[in-house]
Amino acid sequence: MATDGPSRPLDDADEITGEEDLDGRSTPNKDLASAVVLLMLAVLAIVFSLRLDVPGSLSTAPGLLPFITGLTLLLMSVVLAVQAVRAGAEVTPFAELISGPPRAAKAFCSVEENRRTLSLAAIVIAYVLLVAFLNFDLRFPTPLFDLQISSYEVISVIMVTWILRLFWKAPVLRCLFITLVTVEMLASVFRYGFGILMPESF
Amino acid sequence: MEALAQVQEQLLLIAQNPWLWVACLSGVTLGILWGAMPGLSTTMAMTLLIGLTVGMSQSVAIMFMLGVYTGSVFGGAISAVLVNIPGTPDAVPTMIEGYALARRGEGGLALGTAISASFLGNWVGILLLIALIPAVLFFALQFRSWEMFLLSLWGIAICGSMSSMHAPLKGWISGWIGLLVSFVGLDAIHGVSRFTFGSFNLDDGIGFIPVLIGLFGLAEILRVLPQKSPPKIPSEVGRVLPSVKTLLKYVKPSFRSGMIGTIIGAIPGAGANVASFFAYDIGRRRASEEERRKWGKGSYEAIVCAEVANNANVGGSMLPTLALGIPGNAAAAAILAALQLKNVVVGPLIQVENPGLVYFIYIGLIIANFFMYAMAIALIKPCVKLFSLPKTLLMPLILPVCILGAFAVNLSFFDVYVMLISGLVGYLLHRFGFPLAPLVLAVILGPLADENLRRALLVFEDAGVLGVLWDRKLGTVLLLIVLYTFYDGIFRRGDRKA
Repeated sequence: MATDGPSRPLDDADEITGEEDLDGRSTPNKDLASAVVLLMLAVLAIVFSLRLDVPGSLSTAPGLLPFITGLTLLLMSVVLAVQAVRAGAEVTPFAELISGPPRAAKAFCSVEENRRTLSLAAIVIAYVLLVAFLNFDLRFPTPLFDLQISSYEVISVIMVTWILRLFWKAPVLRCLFITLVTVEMLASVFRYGFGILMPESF
Repeated sequence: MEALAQVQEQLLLIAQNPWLWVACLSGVTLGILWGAMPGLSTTMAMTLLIGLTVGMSQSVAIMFMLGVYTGSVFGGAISAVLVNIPGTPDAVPTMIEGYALARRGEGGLALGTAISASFLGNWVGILLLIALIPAVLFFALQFRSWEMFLLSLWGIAICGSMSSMHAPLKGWISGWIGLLVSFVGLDAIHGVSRFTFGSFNLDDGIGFIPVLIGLFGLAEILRVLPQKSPPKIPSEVGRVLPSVKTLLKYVKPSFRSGMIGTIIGAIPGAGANVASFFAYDIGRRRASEEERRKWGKGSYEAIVCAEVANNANVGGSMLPTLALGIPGNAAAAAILAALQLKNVVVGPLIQVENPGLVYFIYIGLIIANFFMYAMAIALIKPCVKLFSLPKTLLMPLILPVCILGAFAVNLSFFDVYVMLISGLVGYLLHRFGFPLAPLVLAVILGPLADENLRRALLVFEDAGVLGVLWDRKLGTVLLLIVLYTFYDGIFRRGDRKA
């Protein structure tokens, strides 16, 4: 019989990867880089909000809250930059700014997990683009109803099988079978249960 | 006496018609399963399932929709606790606490606590709804444009502080990015295109559902799948339901969170998302020192606060929907649509035009609540077993759900692109230590804040600052609370670290 409440007490070694587990992911250098990007975003927001039409009075101007948001984001990014520098971020001289991003990219790619992330992201992007641009709809009449198979289902089965093979490392046929069953169940519920069309770009 | 007679009449009607029970049970089951699917929201469940009610009679259709509503609000907690992807936006606080517990092998008990809290929350919502109709309506109606703007701002500020407790600045920045995203599209007052850069697709704005699926679905897949040893959820379920003694410990936070959920539900436009975050934040502030230390690392009390509030919100949101014809939130708007589909016009005359319907809905909510409790308990063990499969197997299978979920909202492939970009951005934000929850909440609340601020400023154009502060006392209280939230985040950060 399990006991009520936590089975063991919390300790510092517990690795919590929930939304709150962010402290370990941030370094002063990362914060400084974020602050620079956010600063640019804030400036863009301010510029574009000032360029918006003002059909009525200033208090109902469409750019009012975007402008305030941009301005406060600018202030917050400055504070973030100051905090990062105080915490020991390296303030790169202007000449090194150009070589900075390629060096960061090289360092990122030197870690195996990051390389795996990049390949997964590439597969996901390819998956979405294939679903968007490769559109077909196959119909097989059966005594009860027309069995439909869309490009989304075919592409999903191929791409998810590929991802499973890469990361789960099970035999291809097993990956294919699991994917086929899952995708077809999902597609059937949406198509026949809720009458929703399968994804494609019209 | 007339009310009592109407209640008796409705009870008899429900008792004599087994189809009403079947419809309610089906709605609850579908709602739980739908809510449990990562990123598929209550609103979406309600919207899509309305179609199934076309062939049903009025009472069966209402019962079915109430079941879906109740079930899907709880369902969001299942994937939140077991896969760290919230089924619905209001399940984000539950995800923060529940997933941490699930990783320690307490997923069953975390879900059991969420179920009990949801059951309790629904009761609090329904009972408060019945008992406090005039008072809650009066309070809800005090929220005008200025107060709604401040409420939205408070929601984003609190969410920012809560999601990134040691660095609230990063939480607020994340919220501010979400605000900028929410401004994209035609503005609600003048119809001016904002940040659309000539794109026809962007004129409609960026929907929060694809953003939610991207940030919490795709980003989670990108983060977890490439790990050499992805986190595992133990398959042992263990004890599921908390003991009565444990539940009694949470009576106070439950009642408080239930009040928050009901009142926020009664305010048109403020949904379960706001309710669960507010209750979560207030719960932390009011918790004992020992309990507060667990907050964000797996606190049962935090789950109780969030779940009671978002479920009490169901009852609360029905109040303005039925009494004023103004939906309390998007899901309640779907109920409104279902009622209109059955030629029921809600509003101040509902008791005249449809005598007894309000009581029918109350009883329906109570029945749905019992079914929700039973079905949720029945589904816990299979769910824990399912989600304890290796992440390397589970995560790729969620990918087609993300694409289909993003597409299904508007049948627009543009939303799939939004989901993809949100996922990539979410992954980067997480890598750089920015929380994602404030971004989603800001995308939801941004349009509300924008429209209401400008309306309020228009109303206040000829009034002085002091006049506004004096005339709008509720707004002044809210303004002080907002300022205190920022002060608390900036100046009391050091105390929390200690």
